[in-house]
Amino acid sequence: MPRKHDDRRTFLKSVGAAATTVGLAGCAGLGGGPERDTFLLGAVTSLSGDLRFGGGVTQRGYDMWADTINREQGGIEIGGDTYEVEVEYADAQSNPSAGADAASQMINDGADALLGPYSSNVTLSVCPIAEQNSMPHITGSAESPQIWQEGYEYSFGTIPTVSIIGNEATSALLNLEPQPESVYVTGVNEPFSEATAVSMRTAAEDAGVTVENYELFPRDTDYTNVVSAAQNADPDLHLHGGHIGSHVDLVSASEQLGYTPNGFLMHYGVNTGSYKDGSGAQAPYTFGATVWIPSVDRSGGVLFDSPQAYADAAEAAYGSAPDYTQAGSTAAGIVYQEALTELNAAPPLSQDDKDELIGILEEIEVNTFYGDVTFEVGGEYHHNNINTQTLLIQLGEDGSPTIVGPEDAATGEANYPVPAWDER
Amino acid sequence: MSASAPVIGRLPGDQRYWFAAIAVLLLAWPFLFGSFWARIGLGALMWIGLAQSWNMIGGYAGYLDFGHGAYFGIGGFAAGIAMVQFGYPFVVGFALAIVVAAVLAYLVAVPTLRLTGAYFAIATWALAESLKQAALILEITGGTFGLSLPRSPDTFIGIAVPFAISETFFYYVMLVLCTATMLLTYYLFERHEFGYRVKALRDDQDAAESLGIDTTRVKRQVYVLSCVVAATFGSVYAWYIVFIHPNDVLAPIITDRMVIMALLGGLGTLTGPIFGGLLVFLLQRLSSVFLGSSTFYLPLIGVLIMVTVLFAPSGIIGILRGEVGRDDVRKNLKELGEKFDLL
Amino acid sequence: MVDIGLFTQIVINGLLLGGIYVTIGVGFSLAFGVLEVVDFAVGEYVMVGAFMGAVLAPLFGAEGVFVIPIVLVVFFAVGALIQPLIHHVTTGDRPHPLLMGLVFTFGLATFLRGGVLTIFGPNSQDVPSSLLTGGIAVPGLGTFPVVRTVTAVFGVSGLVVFMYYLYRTRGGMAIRAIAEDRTNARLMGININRYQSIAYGAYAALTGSAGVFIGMTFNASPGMGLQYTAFAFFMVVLAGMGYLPGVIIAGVVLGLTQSFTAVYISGNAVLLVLFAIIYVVLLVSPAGILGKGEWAT
Repeated sequence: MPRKHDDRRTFLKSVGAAATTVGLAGCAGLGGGPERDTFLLGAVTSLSGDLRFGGGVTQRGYDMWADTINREQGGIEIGGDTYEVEVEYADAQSNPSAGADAASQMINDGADALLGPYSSNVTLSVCPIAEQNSMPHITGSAESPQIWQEGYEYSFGTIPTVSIIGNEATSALLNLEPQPESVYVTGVNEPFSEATAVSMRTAAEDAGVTVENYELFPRDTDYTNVVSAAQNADPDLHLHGGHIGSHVDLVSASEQLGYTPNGFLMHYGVNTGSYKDGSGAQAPYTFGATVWIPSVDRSGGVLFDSPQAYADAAEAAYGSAPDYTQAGSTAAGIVYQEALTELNAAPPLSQDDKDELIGILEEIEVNTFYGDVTFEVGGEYHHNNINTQTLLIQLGEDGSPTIVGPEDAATGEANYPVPAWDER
Repeated sequence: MSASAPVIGRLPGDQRYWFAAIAVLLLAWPFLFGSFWARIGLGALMWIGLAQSWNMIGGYAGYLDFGHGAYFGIGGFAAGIAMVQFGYPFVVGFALAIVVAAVLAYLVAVPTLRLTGAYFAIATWALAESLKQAALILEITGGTFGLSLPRSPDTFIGIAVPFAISETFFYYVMLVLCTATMLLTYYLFERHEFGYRVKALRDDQDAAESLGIDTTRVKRQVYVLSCVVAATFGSVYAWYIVFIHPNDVLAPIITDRMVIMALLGGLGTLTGPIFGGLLVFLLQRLSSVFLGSSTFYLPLIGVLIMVTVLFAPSGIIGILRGEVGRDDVRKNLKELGEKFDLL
Repeated sequence: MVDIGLFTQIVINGLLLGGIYVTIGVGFSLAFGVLEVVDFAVGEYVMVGAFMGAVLAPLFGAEGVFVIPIVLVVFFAVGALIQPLIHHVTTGDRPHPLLMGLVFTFGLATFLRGGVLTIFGPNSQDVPSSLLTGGIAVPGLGTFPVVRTVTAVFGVSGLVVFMYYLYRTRGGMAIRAIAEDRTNARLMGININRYQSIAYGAYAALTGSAGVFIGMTFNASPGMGLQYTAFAFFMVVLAGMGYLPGVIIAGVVLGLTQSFTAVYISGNAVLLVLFAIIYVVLLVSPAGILGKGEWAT
């Protein structure tokens, strides 16, 4: 049978070709020696796939920090010399496995520290890589409480976990007049959204408000049924945990069925362009949760004088207003900058330097345009910055957000109860 | 790699050196290139193995299993549940993955393999999707929150091992699994009588039966075998990636990728999945290196798939065998042109 | 509101949801049954249609409805030109013709999804419409969202037009002859390329404009296609592969099952129930719930 011989030859040819491919791939990876006069930060974030929008937000946040510090201060000053900051990106492709590989790639390229990915699923697979390689890692976006409950030693986060954000925003909303007596809680069944919905429900229960129903469903469900069931329960408020796409579907279905509770509270991201583009005329009056918007009153500090100064700089650089994820990402950079200054070691960092950096981060207190950043040590949310104040916002007629709660932070009155769909 | 000695033994001289060189390269890989490339290497090995597992049922037996990825996830969750919910070491989880996948695959095989063609494809896909939805609701799988697996040195066999559970470790585990899958495929499908029965079944089920082949039995055997192989990779992957979630390890994209890899490489061939696996995996993983942060690689993969199906239906193996010469392409183009005669 | 109000509203929701599925199912069933193409790109035609709505509507006074004629024409032309490619990969001396068709359309789907993602970015886009907003409240029954009602009417009309074409015209007879036996049809002097392209073009046109309606009902996003591919498969399985009239029943069953599961069992269980039903129907009655599917491999 000549066929057999063919098979074998093909087999060998193929193995040879495979080896060449692999070999070439291997050589491609051998670049980047240890000699460097810049700080190299490896940023893992989803630049493609479903999470690309959020990935882009974190990327703008990290770039904003690196560009500003290099332009204004020439980098980070260590022992009289300044070292520029370089942020290198690796694509997590919106997928935990690729995210973990990307983190490893950054470590392989000799990064001094990591900046974290967008989304909790990807972060949960990047944290073990940081841990295993004893690599400092600060995320400017992931919010799932799971990350901090794992107690990772090398991972930090500048945005408070959603358990806190969702809870506090809901509490602020429940204080509006006329005081709501019942809420209806929905959420998408993925980790971040479920954590959000749980925190909203907890806040309502703690406030003694009736929770008419608590319901999770898949992202791709049809929202008319969700809305009809909610409409039937006739709650004062509708609270929803999900990503932007699901908010859009929820308000569309509500408009179509004429469902108007006194207000919708949704997290994450009602003040993003994505929500406004997606929901069009239905966007106004939606309540949202955040920890930062440009008009918030915070003292400012390192690199940017005030929230508004940051917003203006970001607007000038990227043509779109920054949201809190972008601000939190920039803050992550600023935290590194302060910690590295205190560490006072020239790049590239040795393993001892990195371990010392972790100690510094645990103690650090940085005043930024984003707010004062400190990381909890021990406790339920280990290494999470839980101090930044949550803000309840509401979109105005033109889609721009106003802070309407909690009372000590509010800059405007809530438009509450919100007008019915046909009265807008 | 003593297990591969018989294969080497039959090869002519210079090819034997090639084979040995590749074996050495594969063995030394993590030490030559470090942990990141160990990850890339182990990812490639895993996908080659998964593509081969699909090739068993899809390529050799001709049953388009569009729910195959589910067994990858089942393997992952079996290991994860054993380790997280019951505190067993990984080896127990691994064994559990094999048992659960085998039992489930058999239970699925009995009713489902009566269907053929598109019916079988859609049925397996629907089943895989319902398993994913169930995993999102069940408590034991961690539901919406997924599972985080432990990785301390005593989680391997129950007592602390003297080496790190690191990329290098997982690289060798994947290497062993992938090599075993390849050898198994080689002996079962290319050498053993079993392979002839499977191919006979694929090419003409009635004829196979008239030759006295118990086609029902053979089909079930291939299906269960291929599913178990996928589950073993899933269980190792779960431990390696630490955090598993139904939306990730039970995603339909896993099946899609296996199918594409097997098809691009060459269906029903031993080495096709090696090529298809390497090509697609590297294209995807290294796209950011070559294309920056663009998603341009997605339409590119789409075009690659369409062009392959149009002009090289026997995949990369077909190209290497010289089946896609200039004349073939010309003939193909001519026939295609005729089909545009619309008026 | 009392519970009977909720009940009737759930029925309305389910039926109108079924109407949306009908708009997708009609063309897909045609492609599946008549052309023997298992088209993985179906959801992506919906997605591209929705994006055409989002991009073109602002040029037509922010009215998505006006985009539909354009989408019909463009998709018909593109579909007619794609069909020869699919025909090519599913015929001749190729191994696994069915798989080749599946994978080719999978490649097409990846190309369309990736292309739109690369060009327009990952964000959802609104498909504006001022004609089709709000809902009409019918006392005693519930609210009929305008856009969904119009979509359902569109889907059912599409079905009627297809049925008329297939069973009452010469072209339709040619297509049925091809479905029956390609070789014989060719011997009878039918230009099979032409009629297959017409059928596929009609399918693409209907599915693309279904996309505009779906865009107006929900929104347009690059990742939306996958779920509609799934629903298209649901539809043909329930209807019986290739049995066009079964599409209506399938839509009703699918829509009502989804509504009732979501409200009376659990929102979380909706997709589990749907996929499990598909699996069981395939095992028990592969020819669909009416047992009238014709096409088998």
